[in-house]
Amino acid sequence: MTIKRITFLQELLGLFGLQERVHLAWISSAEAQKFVEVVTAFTEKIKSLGPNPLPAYRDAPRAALAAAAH
Amino acid sequence: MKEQIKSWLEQGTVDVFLGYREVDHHPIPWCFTQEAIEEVDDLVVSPARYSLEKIATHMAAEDPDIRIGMLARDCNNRALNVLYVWNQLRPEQVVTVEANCCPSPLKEHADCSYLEPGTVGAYKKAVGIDNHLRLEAVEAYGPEEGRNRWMYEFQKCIKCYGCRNICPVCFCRECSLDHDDLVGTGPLLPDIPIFHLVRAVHMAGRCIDCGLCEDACPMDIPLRLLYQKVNRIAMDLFDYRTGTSGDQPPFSILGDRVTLEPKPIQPVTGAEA
Amino acid sequence: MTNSIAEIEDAGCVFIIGSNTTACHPLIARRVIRAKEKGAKLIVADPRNIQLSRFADVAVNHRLGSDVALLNGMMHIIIKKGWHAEDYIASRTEGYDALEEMVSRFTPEKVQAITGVDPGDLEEMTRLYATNPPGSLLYAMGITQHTTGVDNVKSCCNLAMLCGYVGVRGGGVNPLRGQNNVQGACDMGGLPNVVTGYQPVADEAVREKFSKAWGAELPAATGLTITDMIPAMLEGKLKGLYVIGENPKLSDPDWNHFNHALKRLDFLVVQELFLSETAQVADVVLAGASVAEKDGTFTNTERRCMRINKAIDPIGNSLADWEIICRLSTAMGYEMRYDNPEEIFDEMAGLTKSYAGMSYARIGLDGLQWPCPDKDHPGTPYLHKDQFTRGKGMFFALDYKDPAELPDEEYPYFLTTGRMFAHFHTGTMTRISPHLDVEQKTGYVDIHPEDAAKMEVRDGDMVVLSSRRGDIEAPVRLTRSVAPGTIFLPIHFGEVPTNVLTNAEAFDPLAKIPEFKVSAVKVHKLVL
Repeated sequence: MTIKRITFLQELLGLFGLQERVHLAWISSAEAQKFVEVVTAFTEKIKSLGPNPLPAYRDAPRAALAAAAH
Repeated sequence: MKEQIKSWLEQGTVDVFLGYREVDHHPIPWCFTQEAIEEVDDLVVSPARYSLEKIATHMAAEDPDIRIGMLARDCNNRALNVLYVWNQLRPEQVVTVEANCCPSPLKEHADCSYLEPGTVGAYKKAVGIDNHLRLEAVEAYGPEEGRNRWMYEFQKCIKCYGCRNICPVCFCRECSLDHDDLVGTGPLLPDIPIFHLVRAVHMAGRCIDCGLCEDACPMDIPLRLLYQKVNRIAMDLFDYRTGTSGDQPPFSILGDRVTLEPKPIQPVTGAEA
Repeated sequence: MTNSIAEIEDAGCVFIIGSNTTACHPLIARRVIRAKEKGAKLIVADPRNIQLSRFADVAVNHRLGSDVALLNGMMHIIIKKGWHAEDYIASRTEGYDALEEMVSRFTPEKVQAITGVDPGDLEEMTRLYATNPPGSLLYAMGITQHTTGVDNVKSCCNLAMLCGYVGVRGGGVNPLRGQNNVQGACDMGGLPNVVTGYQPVADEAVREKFSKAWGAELPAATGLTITDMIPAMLEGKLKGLYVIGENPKLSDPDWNHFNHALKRLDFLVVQELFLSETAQVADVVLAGASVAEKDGTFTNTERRCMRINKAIDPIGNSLADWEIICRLSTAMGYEMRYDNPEEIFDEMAGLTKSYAGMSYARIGLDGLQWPCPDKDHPGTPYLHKDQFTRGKGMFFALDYKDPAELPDEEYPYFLTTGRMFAHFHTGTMTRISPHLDVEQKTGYVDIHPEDAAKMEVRDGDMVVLSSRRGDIEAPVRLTRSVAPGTIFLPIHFGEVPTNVLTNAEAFDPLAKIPEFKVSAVKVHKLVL
C-alpha cells in the first residue's frame, strides 16, 4: 500500500534528516487545482530546503564534517 | 548433548548436524555426519557463533529432502523462523539443540560473542556512531547531526559484502546490491548511502538482530542499529514482529488495514540545509 | 613489515605513503581506521585522493615520484625543531651526520618546488608524525615501483629511525606486501640471488650446506631478475622460460617490447590455474591446483607463517605446485620425492634459521611470525627490538632524483598505474568471479574533470592514450581522486593493457623494479 511504503521511506530517511523531501498526496484527474497547489507547495518547500546535502559527503575531502565534531 | 547428536546421526533422525568443532583451540563451524561420527566428540559450545542456518539453507537448496540437525541459540531460532516463513527451509526438516544465549531473567548463563564487544574509540564516539548505543539515542540526533554521523560511518565502507555474506536471512539468488542499475559500481568510496539503505530496506521483516553483520564488518559500521531501525518501523507501521514465529506470512510492504493519513507539507524548520 | 598488523591499532600516529590501503589491503585499512577512531593521528601522502585521505588529519598530494624530497623535507623539519630521538640515534644507529647534512638542503621551499606540497602542510604532517609516538609508517607499491624505489624505501627507514620508531611496538616501517604469500615466496628463496631465509647463493658455506642436504652440487652464479631476463631473451641468451603463477604478458612493463622478447624464446612453460594471457601463448601449460585444493603454508605480510588446508581434491588432472615441480625434477634427472608438503616444510625449517622453530603442529591455526629460531620461541611480533639485524641501524643520505620520464610538450600528462578494489593483479582469478566482475567489467582511465574539459571528453568517452612505447584505448572515468595533470590506469584488464604505455627501460638499478608508477602520456579523444 502506497501510504505505508511512503511512510516507511519517510521514517527511514528521518535518520538522515531527509524525511521532508518525500511527499505523498492523492489527487484525482478532476482536481487540477489541487494538483497545482500541491506541486507548487512542494516545489517551494524543496527550494527552501536547498540542494540535497548527500552529494557533499561524496565530494568532501574529509569524512567527518565539522558539525558532528562537538 | 553429544550422545543425543550421535544417536540422531546413527538412527538417521538427521542426515547432518551443524555445530562447532574445536580445531587447534578454535571453534570452527562444522558439519557432523554419520560417516565421521567420532568428530562429535570434539563438538564445542562456546561464545563463538556463525550463521549455521545459512549453511542449512544452502544444503536444502541442493537437496530439498535433507534433514538437518543444528545447534541453535535464540538468534538462530529467530533466523530459522524467518527462513520457514520465506520457504527457504521446512520446519519438519530441521531439529535443533538449544544452546545458551542472550542474558535474561530466565537464563542465568549467557554465551554470545556479541556480549563482549570491543571498546569504541573516542573519535568514533565524537563524529560517528557508538555501536553500543540504543536505537532511541541514535534517533534523537538532530537531522544534520544524524546525517553527519551516519555518513561518516558509511564513508568507511570498503564494499566487502561481509554484511550480506554472513547474513542468515540473505538468501536471494539475485541480489539488488549486485545490480548496477540500483547501486553504483566501480570506485571506492562506494555509492553511499544507497548501498547501505538498499540493504536496510531489504532487512525490514527479515533482520533478526543477531548482529553477525556488525561482527563481520571490518569497518565497525553500526549496521545492527540501522536494521533495528527498519524493523522498528515495520513493527510500528505493520505490527510485524520479525522472527517471532514460523507461522506469520512473509512481511509484505502491502497491508490490509490502513489507518494512516498523508502528512501535510510542513513549513521548513530551518534545521536542515 | 617490521611490526604486526594488529599493532597498527595502538600506534600514536599512522603515516601512509604510496598505498591505497582500503582498495589493496582492506583488512589493514581496518586497523588504520580503528587506530584513528581510538585517537591516533593519520597522515596520508599520495598523488591521488584515496578513500583514507578523507579520514586523515593531514592529506597531501605530492607529485609522482617525489617521495625522497618529501621525506627529506620532513626530516629537515624534525632536526630543525629538535624532534629527533637523540639517545636512540646515538646508541642504535650510524651515519647520522651525513643524513643531517643531506636533509639540511631540503628546505620547505625547495620541497614545495619539487613535490608541490604546501610548507604549512609539510610542517603539520611532520609535527604529527614526530610528536605522537609510536609512529607506524605504511607503504606499498607507490614507494617501490620507481627508478628510485630503493632510495624511497631507505628514506622511509631514515624517517622512522630518526624518530626512534623502529624496534618498538606499534611503530616500524611496514611495507604492505601485494600478495598473500609474496613474503613467503621471498623467504623460500624465490629470488635470483638467495636460497631460503635470504642466505646468499654467493656464500660458499651456504652452498655447501644445501649441497649436502640435497646431495647435489649447486651452481655458484646468481640468477637473473625478470628485468634482466627480457634483454637476455632478446639477445638469444635465454632460450627457455618457466613461469609459475604469474602473468607477465599483462604485468610486465612495455607490453610490445615484452611480447617481442617472448617470441624469441624457443620454449615457454606456464604453470597456472587458468589460461591466462601468458598461458595462451605457452608451448606447454601445466595445470596447477588452487588454494582450496592443496595443503601447505603461506607467509603473509607480517611474517606470519600460516597453514592452508585442502578443502577438495584437485579438479581434473591439476596438481599442487610442489608435485609438479617434483615430477619435473625427477623427469629431468634429479629424483625429488616427498610424501607431503609437511616433509618439505621440515626440510626447509632444518636449513633456515628464521623458520627453525616452526613445524605444522606448532603453526596451528594462529601461525607463527619469523624469526622463530627454536622450538620454544614464541615468534617475533616486531623486529629490531634491541638491535638491528646488521647491528646498528644505518642512515643513508640520499639526494632526490627525478623519475626517468617527466611530462613534456609532446607527452603532457603524468600516468600512474595501480589496482582497484574488486580485482587482483591481472584478473586471472577475480575477473571470472561474477560478484567481482559486476563491480568493474572492463578497464578505464581516471581523468580529472579539468583535464577532461581541456581534452573535450566526457565521462564514458573513449580516448587514445599514447606514450613513447605504444597506444591503448580506454573509456574515461571522471574523478577528482586524481590531481589535474595526472591520469590513472588500473592494470587488471587484458583488453586495456596498461603496460603497453609503461617503460621497461626505467627501473631501479639495485632492485630492478620497473617504474610502473610514473610515465608520460598524451591523451586524445578517439575519433571513429
